Amino acid sequence: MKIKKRSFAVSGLLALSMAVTACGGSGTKNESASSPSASAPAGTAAASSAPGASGSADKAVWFSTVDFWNPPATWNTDPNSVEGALTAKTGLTFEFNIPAQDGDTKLNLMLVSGKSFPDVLTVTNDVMVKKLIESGKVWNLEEFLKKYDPDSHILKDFPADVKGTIEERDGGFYAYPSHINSADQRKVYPPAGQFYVDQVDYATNNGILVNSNILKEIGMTLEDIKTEAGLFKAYEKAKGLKVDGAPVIPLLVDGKGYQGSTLSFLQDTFGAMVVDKDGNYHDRLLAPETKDSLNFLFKAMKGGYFEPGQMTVDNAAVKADIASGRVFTFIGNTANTSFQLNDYWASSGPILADSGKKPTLGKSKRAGGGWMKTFISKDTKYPEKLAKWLSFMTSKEGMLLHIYGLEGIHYKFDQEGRIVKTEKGLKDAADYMNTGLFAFWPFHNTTFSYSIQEPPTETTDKEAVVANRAQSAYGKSKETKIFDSSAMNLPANLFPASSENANIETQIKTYKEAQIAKIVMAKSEDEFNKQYDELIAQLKKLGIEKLDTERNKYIQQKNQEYGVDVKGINS
Amino acid sequence: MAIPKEIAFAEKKTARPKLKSFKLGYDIRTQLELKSMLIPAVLFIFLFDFTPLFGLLMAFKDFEPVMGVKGIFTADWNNFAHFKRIFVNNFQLWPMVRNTLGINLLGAAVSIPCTLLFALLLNEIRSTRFKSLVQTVTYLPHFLSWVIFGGLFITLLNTDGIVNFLLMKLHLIDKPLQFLADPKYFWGVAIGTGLLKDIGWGAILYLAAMAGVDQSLYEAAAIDGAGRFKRMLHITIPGILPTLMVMIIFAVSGMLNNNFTQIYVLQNSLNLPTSQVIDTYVYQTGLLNFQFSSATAIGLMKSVFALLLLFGANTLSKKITKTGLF
Repeated sequence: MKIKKRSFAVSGLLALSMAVTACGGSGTKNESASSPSASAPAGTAAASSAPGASGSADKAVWFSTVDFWNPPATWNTDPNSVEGALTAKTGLTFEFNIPAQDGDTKLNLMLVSGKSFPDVLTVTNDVMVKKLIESGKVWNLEEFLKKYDPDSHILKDFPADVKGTIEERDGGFYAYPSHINSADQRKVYPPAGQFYVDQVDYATNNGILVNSNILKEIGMTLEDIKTEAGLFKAYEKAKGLKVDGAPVIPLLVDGKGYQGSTLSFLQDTFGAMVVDKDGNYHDRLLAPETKDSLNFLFKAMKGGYFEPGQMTVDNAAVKADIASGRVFTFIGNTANTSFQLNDYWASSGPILADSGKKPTLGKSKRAGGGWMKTFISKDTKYPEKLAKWLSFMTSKEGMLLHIYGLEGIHYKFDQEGRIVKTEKGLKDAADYMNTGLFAFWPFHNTTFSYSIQEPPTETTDKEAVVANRAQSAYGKSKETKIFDSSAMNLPANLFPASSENANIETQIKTYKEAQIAKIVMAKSEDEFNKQYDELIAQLKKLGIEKLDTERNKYIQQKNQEYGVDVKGINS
Repeated sequence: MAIPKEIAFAEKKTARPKLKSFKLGYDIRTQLELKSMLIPAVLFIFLFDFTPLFGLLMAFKDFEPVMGVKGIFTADWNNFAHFKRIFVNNFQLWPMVRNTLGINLLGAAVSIPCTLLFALLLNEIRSTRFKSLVQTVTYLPHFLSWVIFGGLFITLLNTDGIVNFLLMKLHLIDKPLQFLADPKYFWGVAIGTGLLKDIGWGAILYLAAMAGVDQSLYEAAAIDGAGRFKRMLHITIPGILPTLMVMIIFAVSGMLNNNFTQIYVLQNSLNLPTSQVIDTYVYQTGLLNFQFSSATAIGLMKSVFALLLLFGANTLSKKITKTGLF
């Protein structure tokens, strides 16, 4: 009997431990957040000397959906490093949680599961911004700062035009924007030279990059490849060449995101606009110039100038190809390619269509609401410290520290009070994933940087010069027609998620993704035309015109509000 | 004649419990230790399979992620709007059902015979060491995640990958095949990679069933002059038929389920016309486009049809082979 009792007790314990093991592993723990002393690296001077309520550094969790943003994986608390200096100033260290992909999905699940939120969140997707605000899980920054850091400079000097854009978009000042670039901010921080004026007025991320080494080898110039016909001639010449024994890639498209960047640039350069001759909104897919853009890709595919697999790879593969020296031209988002690391990259500006239509470029005259948007969670255990941290990161002192580093080591001031980066400063900024210098993108301020730093030259910052030259080429071209696109930025929540229109939008998104690929990969001219006609017919069948009617109402209202009148340049 | 007391007691002690004694109370009294071992599994199923069933309410409501878990109960009912949206005027419905059924039907038609054949051949290997080696090598891919295995195949099937290289060297093709960029190859790639990954693992079940076949039958058949092929055909296959039927029933009931990770890893915008299956559509609708209710509606319909398929396959199996799952 005793044996039976004992064996029951043992099996009961075993079952209990198995149950605990089976059911207990799913939650995520943030022991460091609740027990900072246990998680802080031992013996770090900054951690022990940092200010803050508790007198020691607290570790906050910083989540981001921007999968190619790679701040240092481990927070360096050495006070002679950028991160260590930030800790010394703010009393905080950070643990980054940046999913390798599908960050929005992860955040969505966090919203539904009701689990505690990360302390800081940085997102780019405007729909996600809406979701975060509607969930009530993030602070209105104005209320947050008034409560926890009433002396914050943000409450006094945040540019009014940017704030207006954010409030219009989000219904309140919930998110701190990255890369502020606005007229009001320029009143405080005027551009340091023409270089930066060009950058603001003409630079665009989407464009064409040309490898000047290969261009020279085929005996052509940038001027020769400015036309569609000239470019195809160059592709044919480059097709047979080899670089280090490997064949040249005449055209590289922007990986699996090619429809959002490569096609988008081709639409610009072939003159497709979101408004027609009467100024009414229509989806650019319906613009006749989009057919020319698709035809360009179709002809390039058919000519063997790029292969279909390019349209399936991720950004890392695109970057690797760009760095290989084998690519003759790249069309897409140049900002994600690190092309400026090699000075042989240039840009021919627009690709002038055989149809004679004019290249177009929309430039918003209004302040932007930020590419990255940073939120503070209401669940955070460190509201006071985060408020001070937010104020510091966005202050002149903070920006000098995290964008330019330590004075005397990473930069020095010239006689005019402008920053001149040292060699170490340039090197550490390029290695931001390890050094932390230039790593805090969510708090980069374009207007501030264009004002405080010496305009770069070939000798002081060649990469910046290479980047500016290539990215401004399209906008500065005399053929390019620049128009005010202030009213054309549609809000993310124009169609609520569960509405009929949102469903139409989703269906169109999925359909066009597959159909555009079919068009580009068509076997013959006839098939190309057939697939294109099918695209237009199916888009209309799915209800694209219904969406356009709603979007047009919004655009016309904004046109009136901003006093803008934009009409189609080509059709 | 009265039975002696001690004999009656011994009989009572050794007699098999009567049917009525299999009641829960009796079981708990006599098999408490064993039954307690079930607790983790029961808890696991309750927590992860039954508790989330409340989420099905989302299919009938205008649920938004920002409402949190409470929203499942508090959101407004919407008169089957999500079901109408999915089944009426949804251009993706037919392609995704076609792809789901196509990949599964063809996959089952290829993988079940191949796995069975592989197990039969494996069973005939006399060298234990060689048999172990083959088994180990073929099991290995099963333990790799689809992210790794799929990534490997994406590289192998590239235009400059080894598969195209070999096909070109053997003069079977003039120019590289776009295995993952051309929609017409996707079903083949999905079925082929699935088979390669799980053929070894799938053979285990058949091998276990073969081990249970009475060896004397083989000896008797050998004496009667049956060769190895005849013995395989007339003894091994009938011997493992119940296992085979269970596998077929599982395959039929899972006809609407694809290996999500496999398809997700191999899918791209170029092969979407043949790679979009119900599971990836649910993922895109729910998690990428934030339409949780629509995703739940289609997930629910899929489960209902899968249940009907399971009952149908089981009934058919019982009628034809007298064996079934339940």
